[in-house]
This record gives sequence, structure tokens and C-alpha cells, in this order.
Amino acid sequence: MELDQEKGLLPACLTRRGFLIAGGTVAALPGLSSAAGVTVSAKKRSYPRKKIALLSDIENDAPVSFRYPYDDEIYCNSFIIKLGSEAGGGVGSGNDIVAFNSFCPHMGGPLMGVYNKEHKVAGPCPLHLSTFDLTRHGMLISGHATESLPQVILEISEGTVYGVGMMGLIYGFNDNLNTAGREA
Amino acid sequence: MSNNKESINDSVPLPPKDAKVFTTACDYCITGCGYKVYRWPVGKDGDINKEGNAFNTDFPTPILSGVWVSPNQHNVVSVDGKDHNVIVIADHDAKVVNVGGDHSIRGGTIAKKVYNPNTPTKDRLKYPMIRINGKLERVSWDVAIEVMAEVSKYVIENRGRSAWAMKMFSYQYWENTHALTKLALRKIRTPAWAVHDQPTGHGPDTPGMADAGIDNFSASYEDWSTAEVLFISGTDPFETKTIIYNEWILKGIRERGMKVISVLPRKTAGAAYAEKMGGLYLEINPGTDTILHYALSRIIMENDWQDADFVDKWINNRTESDNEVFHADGFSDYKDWILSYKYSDLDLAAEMTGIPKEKIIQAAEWMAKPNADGSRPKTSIGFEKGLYWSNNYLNTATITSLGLICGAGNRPGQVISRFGGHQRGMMPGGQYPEHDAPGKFPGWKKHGIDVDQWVEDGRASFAWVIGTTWTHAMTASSHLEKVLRRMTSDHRQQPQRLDMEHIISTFKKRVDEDGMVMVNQDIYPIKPIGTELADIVLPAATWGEEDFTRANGERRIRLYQKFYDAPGEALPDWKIAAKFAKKMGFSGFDWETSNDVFENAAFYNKGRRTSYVALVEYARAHNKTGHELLAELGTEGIQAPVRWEDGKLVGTKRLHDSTLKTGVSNGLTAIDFRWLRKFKTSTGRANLLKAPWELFADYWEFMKPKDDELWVTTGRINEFWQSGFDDQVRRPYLRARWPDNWLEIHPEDAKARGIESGDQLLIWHDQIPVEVGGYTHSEKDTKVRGVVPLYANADIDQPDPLETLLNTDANQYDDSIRNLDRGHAELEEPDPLLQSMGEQLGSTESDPKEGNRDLPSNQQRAPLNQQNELEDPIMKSVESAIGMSWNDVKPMTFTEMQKNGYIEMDSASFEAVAIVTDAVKQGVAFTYFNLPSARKGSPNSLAGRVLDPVSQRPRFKLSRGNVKKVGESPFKDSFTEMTFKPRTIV
Repeated sequence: MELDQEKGLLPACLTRRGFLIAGGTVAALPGLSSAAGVTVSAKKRSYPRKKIALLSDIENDAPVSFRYPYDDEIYCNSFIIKLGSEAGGGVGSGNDIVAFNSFCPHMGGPLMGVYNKEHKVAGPCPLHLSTFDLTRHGMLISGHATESLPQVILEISEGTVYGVGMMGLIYGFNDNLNTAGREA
Repeated sequence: MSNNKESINDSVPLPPKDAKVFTTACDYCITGCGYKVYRWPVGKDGDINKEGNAFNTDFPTPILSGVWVSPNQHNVVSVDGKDHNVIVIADHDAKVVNVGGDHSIRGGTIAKKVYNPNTPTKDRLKYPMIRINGKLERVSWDVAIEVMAEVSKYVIENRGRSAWAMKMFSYQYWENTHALTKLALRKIRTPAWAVHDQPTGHGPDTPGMADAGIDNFSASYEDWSTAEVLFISGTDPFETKTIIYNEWILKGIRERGMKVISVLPRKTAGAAYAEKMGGLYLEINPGTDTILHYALSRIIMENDWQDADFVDKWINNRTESDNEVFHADGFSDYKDWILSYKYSDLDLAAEMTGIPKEKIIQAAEWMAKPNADGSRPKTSIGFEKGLYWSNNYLNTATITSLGLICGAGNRPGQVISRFGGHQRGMMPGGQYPEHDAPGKFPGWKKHGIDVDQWVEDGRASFAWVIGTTWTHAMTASSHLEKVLRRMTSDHRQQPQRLDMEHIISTFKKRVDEDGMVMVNQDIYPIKPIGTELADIVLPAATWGEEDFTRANGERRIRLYQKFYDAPGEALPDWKIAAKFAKKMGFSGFDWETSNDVFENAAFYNKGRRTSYVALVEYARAHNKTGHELLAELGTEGIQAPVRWEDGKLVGTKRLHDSTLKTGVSNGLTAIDFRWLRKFKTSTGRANLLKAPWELFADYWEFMKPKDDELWVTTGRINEFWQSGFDDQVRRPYLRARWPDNWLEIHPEDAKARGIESGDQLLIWHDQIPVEVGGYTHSEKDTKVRGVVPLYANADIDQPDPLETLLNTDANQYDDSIRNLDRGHAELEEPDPLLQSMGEQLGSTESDPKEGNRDLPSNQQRAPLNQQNELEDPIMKSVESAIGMSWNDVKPMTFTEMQKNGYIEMDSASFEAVAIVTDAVKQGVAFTYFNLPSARKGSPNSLAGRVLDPVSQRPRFKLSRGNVKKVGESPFKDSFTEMTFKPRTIV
């Protein structure tokens, strides 16, 4: 009956978005082991495996744009960045390469060009000033978004970085994979 | 609920074309954003083409569409036993408040508030329970109510009405607060009544504004946008009333070049952005606002920058009432006092406030210096709890006087107002029975009962606690918790079996043995009050589970529609109050629907700030109910006072609006309250107030950090509402963001203590002053504290000594004193018309002993005492300011209370996770005021329980503590919980 505030009401396996694994095919991704030992799992239905960049082209603190999962959809604008310090979901030898969608999950403000190098933060959003911690899966630092900045799940294979999934609903979409016939 | 899609985070179902749409407003902060709820049966989703969804929008939706739905905006609810999807989003059609569907993270995640047994809301209270042998057991409503009624009757008969106490939220919807206050104040007539954040239910929250004659919710949100200079004190609206910032202040800054002056010890995103855009950030030391206001006022008047035309027309040019204590005798008297007052010195102000002199001068120039062409800057003042919960009377009086000399208070873009905390949900069903309260202030008004102390002194035998944690919500919270525990769960009289007669007789024995029976009525099991202390726990229904009404911070009334069924047997509070009242034999509770309560309450509420009697009158004339009419008005609602004029219903944008034009009245409801166009004084002009620092100086010096101590001030944060009972505890995303309480500490202070972000800290103090006693009816209580025995106490039989002390010459009716109460946030003075209507609506249970109950409070005012002790310099200064004898005032000072044995020292501590940031100034640490997840102590435990002597309001914001590292929190190196990045990246 009583609220167990010591243990909290959240499941022990809570991942960063509080999402559980439900429906679809589930894969625990070894590349996403965090320093705290929490494995971040993502629901993989049929996200495309898509080449994003060559590892050698990614420099510290220099965001590179790409689209994921769809090339023909502006809200799929994303950026990949090497933070120079270990990050949740980070890949590469320093576990510091991460990628995120570029639209604020508050009201869709564009986050291109508002990367804060000193703190490894996306934002402030030009609309209402939300900021996101890129080292902690895009968690909201301050502002209004009701979820983290959607993160593109990455894998590296032979010097190439691939996008293989998304965590979080992309602004504008009701379903990242509801394509209405669109080809990823 | 098999198909709860809570767990999937990259999709949400869309409402089909035929989804049912409800309008409501956010349950949380004062802003009161308009929301829409889309509800449809599970399995009948809409699609992404505009022809196939209720939003008439193709997905993906564009930027600022207002209809993008995040996973946290969806839930599954039960309606008539069937699962339905709900989407709860800010109203994208909104033209007011949250224009275009803007929202905060609090309202933005409100869909997660609704009960869904597959989510962390599963522990909602569902059935009445009684604690048997320490364990809560389910009982029927009939049993719970009967036990309460039997014990209540016993308590009232044997220990008096004042032994029956109620501690309740002041804001959770008009229908509920009306029913509860009608019960407690009009029927039972107990003075042992207090709201969630105050120890007493008596007097105004911002008494300085009330004394000046300004309603504390006079402004319209538009005024926060159209000012040229906006002085914001003790709050960052970005953090705590987000959409007032996003949609109004931000537009003023970006589109009109409005300059914002932020007065805060902690720079948050809104203050940082305003500063970046050309504003000023005044990094004030806690508790020194009054000193800053003196200095600003002095600079303005020394330079003759005051708004002379406004002062001539709108400021009382002599003392409005000879009996009034702080009123200046016109502008020149105020000016002379400020200019010669030692505490208005700029150097002293810079030293005490910690704000550089240049910044203070700059602020004064912006606020009042005429432009080269002779025009004046349009200045507005807005403030909130950082200001009035650190030094209540003085801060509210001095900031109001500062605003008035700048010409603010009664025009578009030139207002003085609270921003607000919670929405305005108090709808009084009775008047605070101040005759029955035992204390009085020296020379003037009655005290309300300090319910915390009342309980501690054994005067309360029954307490009904509604929608508040009580223990953790009040100052010196660990002290209070010990007291409550002693009176309830640790008392030797505990029911042993689930047998009604046995339970009732055990509770009566507890009453006889000076214990207290406690009822906790809430939506969740609240720790410890519901889970460990309360004898009876009652399940309440809440937002979305009943049709409710309420006003926001610009007096905008909306209907908050029911869109799903409350869990189990949970009932709205008004129904619970009515059940109990009927069991007690009280008349006037025969309501069938919440609309019945709403319409009934309208007549009691006539003439108040939120008056909507015209709306009810209009609705009836058009064969509608009040709620039906409000439903038609949707998220726009209507601003109170509501007027029916020129054939239509009209809202009132701002109060005291000298530019307001009204039409021809329809119906019987008055539309021309004087204070619509003038100030709330007997003359219609405002008062400048000479409020002396000396009343506060000793307490501030005592609380000021010494040696290695830091100020430990408390406040809110954007991501949570109130104590986090809904969101921080029960929304996984927000719980991950803020898994525990934290302490923001300046890098220099952190370095000196070897502290890094993510470290676990202990914060403690062993000299926390706690005001105790006063209600033991000793001779000392009477002499020193002005506390006298009560009529309302059945054990007191003789005439009220206070009455015999009264000088009949001083008992003349005096309108100016009545006006003191008009700015009252919650309950206001009786309206004779209201009283007569009230008689028709449901008569007061009369008591022949107290025939003059309905007379205004001032008729019991004691005469002023003009004795002098001219040797005392503090006394001289205070006497010259307030025209009262220092002898009258002296016992109320902290120093004298200590001398007289009314202060105990307590020790307390709490733990928090360190966030090292230069957002807080050096010497100041900041923490969240009250989190259920803060399991190792509560920050409010460090706040002294010493009330403002003038207003009886607490000083939550003033605590200090020692800080040390005790380890590392699990969040220090986590990638999934908490972040330590600065919140001021703008």
C-alpha cells in the first residue's frame, strides 16, 4: 500500500528514457554500456542501418549533419559529434562519439548551430531556451521539452559510423517508423 | 489495461477524427495554461493524414504546430470500465495565456498524472482506511465518516470548537475549498484552521500590498510584456511560472526591448537570459530586500525622479487613518523618512545586500529617471515567495512603496502584482472566526491561531489534513513531525481491532489523554503523514476526475473538465466534506453536482477579486448551468471579476485600472466595484508605508551565517510541481532527471570544502529557532503575547478578557482598517450583503453568546498606546515610523521572545547531491524546498519557525547551515540519471 520511496517506484532496470522494452524486436546493444554499468536498451523494430560518416572525418566539437532515419524528411536532420569525453551511448575508442536529432522536442525549435563546446550541451533552443546534455543521452538540463533530445544509436564497423536506431520520438512524428510509404 | 503503451518511447497513437475533446487547464502552476484532452477507445487510433486525425494535421507536423505529441503526453485511462487512450496537450488554438499551445515540462507531462495501474500512479489511494494496530485497514465510507463524526462531536463538546482543527490546501479547486471552508469556518467555526503553507488561516499573504491598497493579483499577463522596465523580485518566472515567461516576458524582451531587473540570490535561466538581453541581475543576499528597496527609493526621491503626477493624483496626501500603523502622512512624510533613515544609505545597502552600488544606481535610473523628452519609463513590479517568504511585511510594504513612487499600480504595463505560485483555488464558504482566536497583535488586529503551535501545546484533539504533507511543508519541519508523531501514532491509545465502537471509544480516550486523532485526505499515501501518522486515510479524486473550476494568476476562470473515472472509491473533496457535514447534522450541503457547489459559492464570493456571480446570473438567464457556460468558454474562460454589461459577459483585464471603461449593467450583479478603477482603500488612493527594518533586524542578524556556515535558501525548479508528489516521484523521465534532492553551491565554497558536483552532502545546523508555547493560557501568555483564553474553548466560561480590555472609544467602525483585509489572498472581510445572502443559502449554526459575530474584526481593536521610552534609539526610530509605542511592539521581536522563553533551539539536517555552480552567489547555497524523494531529511527542517511579528507569516527562505561532503552519490558518474551541467547556458 505504501509508497516505497526508498526503492522508488521505478523498475531497477530503468533505462535513460524510462522506457521498457515492449513490442517489436529487442536488442541490447553492447556499444551502449555506460560507465555506470547500465546497459541502455533500445527497441529496434526495423530501423535502417545507415552509413553516417567516416570515423576519420569526425573531429572534436565539430558537429557534422546528416539525416536519420529518412533522407527526404527535414525533421530527420541530425548531427554527429565527438565530444572529447565519455558519453552515454558514445562509440569510438573514447566512447565519446554521439549523434542526436536536431529539433527540440518541446516545439520543434532548430538546434543547428547552438552547440556549447565548453559544456557539451545542445542549446539553448532559439525558441524557448531548452538545453540538452549530450553526455547523458540528451537529457534536458533546463527548459521545457518533455523528453530527451532523441539520440541516434550508433555502431562502428571498419572505420565507418552507422546509424542503427533511435531513442526517443523525433519532433513532428507520431512514430519514427510510421513512414506512410516512405522508404528509409 | 492491457494495451498501455507507456513503455514505448518512439511512437504515440493519434486521436481519430471522432475522438472526444475536453477542455481544461493545467493542474499546476499559477499560469494556468489552457489544455485539451483527446480521448478515444483503445484500438481505434487515427492516422497521420489530416483527414484521419482529430488534429486536422498531416504528420510530421511543422515547427510550432502545437499538435506534436510526445510520448509523455499520452496515457490510458478507464471510462465506465473501458480502456481509453488520452492525449493531453496544451491548446494549440489558445489566444490567451499559452498562446499557440506553448507549455512547460510540468504541464507538458501532465498526461502522466492520470491514474493508470501500469504506471507509478498505481499507489493512488482507492478506499477509506483506518489504522488498526499500526496498520491501515480498508473500511467503508460510512464507517470512516461515522467514526470521524462521533469523535468530532466528542471533541467539540468536551474541548471546544477550537480543538477541532483543519489543515488544507488553499488551491485545489473552488468546489472543494468552498465545501471544506463552509464546514470548518461557517459550520464548526473553528479558528484552528490553516492552509498548506501557513501556520494560520488569518490575514493577507502580502500584507504590505494590502496596507497600500493594492490587490496582489491585479495585473494581467499582458502587463508583464508591455512594461519597459520590469523589476522581478524573489522569483524567476522561467523556472516556476514558465509560460508567463515564455509567452509574455520573453516577448517583451525580444519584441519591445523590455529591460528586466532580476533580484535573486541565484541566477537561473530566465534571469541569465534577461541579463544577456540588456537587463540587470541583482545578486541579493537572502533577507535584505527591504534594504535594497529603501536604497532604490532614496536614490529616486533624492533625484526627484518620482512620478509626480501619479503621486499627486493617486497617493493619499495624508495619513488615511490615524490608527493605522505604517501609513506615511503623504508623500512628503515618506520622502523625509526615507531620506533621513540610516538604513536607506547606499553604502550600507551595497554592503548588506551584496549588490554593487553601481548596479543599484542603474536600477533606480531605469525604473524612474525621466527620459530626455520628459516622458517616463513604464515600470512594473512583480514578485513572489523569495521576497515575501523571507521577510513578509517589510518586504511587501517596501516593494509596494517603491513601485508607487515609480508610478506603477494602476495602468497597462505599469502594475504591482504577485506573479503567484499555485492557482487561485480558494473559494471561502465561511469567514475566519477571528473573535474566537485567542491572540492579538499589540495595538491592532487579532492573531489567527498558529496551528502548528496549537497542536504542540495540546490544544487540538482532532485534525483533518487535506492535500498537504503538513510536516515537511512547514518550517522547522523535523520539530513539527516529532510533535505530530507524539500526538498520534506514538500515543498509547491505538485501536486494536476493526470494530467501530471500539475504534470510537479508543479515539475518545486518546482525546481525554491529550492526544490527537488525525485524518489525512489525499490522492496518494503521503509519507509520513498518511503512511505513519494518520488514524484515518481518505481517498480523494482530483484533476480530470471531476468538473472543477478555478482562476489563474490573471483571475481567469476556466472549467477543468472531468475526462475519466477516479480510481476505486475515491471521491472529490467536496463530496467527502458534504458526507461528513450531513452526518454532523449541518444544513447547506445538499449538493448533487459540483456545479451546484460552484453556483452556490458564487453568492458567497460576491464582491471578491474572483467574483463570478454575474456569470451564474447570465447562465441562469440563458437556461444553462454555470459549468455549462464555462465549458463553452473553453480554455479562454473569462477574467474575474466577471461583469454582465451591454448584453454580454465581460472579463476584467486588470484591477485598479484607471483606464477601464465599463458599460451598462445587466442583471442584478454590480459591475462597478470601486477598486476596479481605484485602489482598495477608503479614499481610492494608495498608501505609502514606512516599514522599519528594526522589526526584523535582530532575527536577520541571528540567522545570518557565521564562520563556515552558508545561507541555505530554498526554492523551486522548473521540472516539478510543489512537493513533486505527482511528477518527481511518479514520472520516470523527471525522476531520472532529478533522482534526489540537491544543493547548489558556489565553486569557491565547494573548493573550500573539497566538494565536487555529484558528491553526497550533509547540511546541518543545531541552532534552529522554534517559536513554542503561547497557548497554555498562563499569565505570561496573556501579558507578553496577548494570548487570551477562548470562547471557542468549552473549558473557558468567563467573559472574554480581551473584550473587557477594549476601550469602547476605539471601537468605532473604521473603513480603512477593513481595507487591510481586502488584499487578502484567500479570505476577505464580510460583506453585509453576502451575509444576508448567506442566511438564505444556508444559515450559520448560531450561538447566542456571540451575537455580534458578523461585525468586522476591527471592532475589537484595542486603543493605541502612546507611552514612550525615549532613551531607546531603536524605539525612537520605530515609533517615528509607525506611530506606536515601542512597548507594544517590543514583545514581538525575536530578542524579546527569546528572553521570555518563547524560543527553543532545535537541530536538524538533511542530505543532498552537490551541484557546483556559479549560478548561486558565494556564501549562498540553494536547495529544493520539499521533495518526497529526499529521504534523508527535509530542507524545511533548517528554516526557523519564528513568524513575522506583523503578519504571522513564515520565513521559509531564511536558513543557514554547515555543509560537508559525506561521500559520492550514485549519480556522479551516471549517464542515465541527473545532470550537472549549468542551467544558465543562454
